[in-house]
Amino acid sequence: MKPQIKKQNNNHGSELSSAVLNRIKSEKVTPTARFIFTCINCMVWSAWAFSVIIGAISVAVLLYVGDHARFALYEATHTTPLSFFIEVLPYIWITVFVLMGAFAYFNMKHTKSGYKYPMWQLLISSLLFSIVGGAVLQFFGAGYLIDTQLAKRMPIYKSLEQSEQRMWQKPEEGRLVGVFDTMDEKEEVYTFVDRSDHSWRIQTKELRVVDRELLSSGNIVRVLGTTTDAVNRDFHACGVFPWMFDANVSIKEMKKDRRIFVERMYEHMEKGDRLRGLEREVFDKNETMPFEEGLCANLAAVKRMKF
Amino acid sequence: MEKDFHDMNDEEIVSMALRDQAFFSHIVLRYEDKLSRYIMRLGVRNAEDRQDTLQDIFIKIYKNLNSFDTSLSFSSWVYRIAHNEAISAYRKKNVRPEGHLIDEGNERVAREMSTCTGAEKKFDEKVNAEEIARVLEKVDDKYKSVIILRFFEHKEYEEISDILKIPIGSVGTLIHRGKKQIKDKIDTKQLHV
Repeated sequence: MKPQIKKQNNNHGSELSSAVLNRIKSEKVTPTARFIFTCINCMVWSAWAFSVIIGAISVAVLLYVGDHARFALYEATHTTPLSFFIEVLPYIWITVFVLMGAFAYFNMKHTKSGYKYPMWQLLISSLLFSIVGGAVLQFFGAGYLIDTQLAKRMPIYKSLEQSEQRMWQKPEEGRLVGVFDTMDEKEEVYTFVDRSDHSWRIQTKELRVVDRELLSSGNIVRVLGTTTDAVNRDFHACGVFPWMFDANVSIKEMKKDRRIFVERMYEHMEKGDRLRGLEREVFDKNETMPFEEGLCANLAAVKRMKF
Repeated sequence: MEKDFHDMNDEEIVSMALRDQAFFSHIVLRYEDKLSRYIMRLGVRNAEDRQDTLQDIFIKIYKNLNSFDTSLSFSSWVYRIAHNEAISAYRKKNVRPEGHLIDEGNERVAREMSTCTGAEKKFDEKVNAEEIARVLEKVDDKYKSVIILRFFEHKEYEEISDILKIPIGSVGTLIHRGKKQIKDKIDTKQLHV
């Protein structure tokens, strides 16, 4: 049997309780429905989930950029690793990550029991969800997909590939990005079409066999060298490197990428030293060298490696 | 079987009040004295303002009865609403508290403050109730609320955490710093005297 309780008789209650009950009646105050509070709570958690998901997307793109930006070749484009980092860092995604972290913290703080936890716990747990979520997304190749699709749909957004292209499609600084077209009979001069649709005659005397194979593979490649004739578009190649890595790149591959680049630059450096010695012994100081080999020893990247 | 409301806990009365508003008066009766003292300590000194604020508090409690989270104690939830309303009322009126903050049980409060942490013996010895009353008015608001809840309303750390919506760790820190500020202010005062 349910317990019966006495209703409060206003005559025996306090003045305040009478006043409150009168106000409740006269202002027709009713308790707000439970589902409204449930909805508010759901909205707060949804906003938290939204910020964590957007945070995870930003982490996925950050991981993709971290994996695929060609740190291994930084001497080819920049004087220091720091200046390279400053140029390739995806500031927009770092900003999104920070903002979403703050938004997630704000939402979590406003959940029913959010106040019980200190700021650092709320912040770290939200960021951790984003980081783990971002790693999972990147594992399935979401970083690349988001980066490229956003660049296609939003002209203002620059993907990693576009920013790499901006750094490497600079013939005046000895860098080209493009695809092999044809080669001459002696197989020493290749015709190459860059990303600006200009056709170049690439001199390959100083290239290794593997570089030539890579150049003639038909894939997009990066060519490091020097422009010998800007008007006729003659280019002296010193190294050929794959354009972008596949979706998943291992640490081993990144190390190999770096090793190949360093080896190539040191080869040019040593060759340059040998040729300069030969020049001093055989030719007059005022006379220019009668051969094209050795141009690669003067590359900015080679000089940067000396120091 | 007839059960008197004195034998019922808050949660039972809440569920009754949700079905029949008349039962809400039991909640009012149960909390009006406690909340009146509390909001007065927070700075709502004028009797009329206090009555108005109390009415607003109970109307708000009634409106939000369905949002009461049973993982909290009802008392903490009521104090939370009262705290927020009192602060708003205080800000609206922008009235500085006047007179003595502690009007009853001064000696007991002083004793409690001094025995709360044995480590601060120097502080304990110097503390006297009247000084606390005078000095507490000059203590930063962030410390004042926790000090009032802890030493005047005798709330546990967890309850203070629920009322002020701050982590328990922060409650401890604020109490410690609040006590230190009171001690510093008392020391400064004595120096000037």
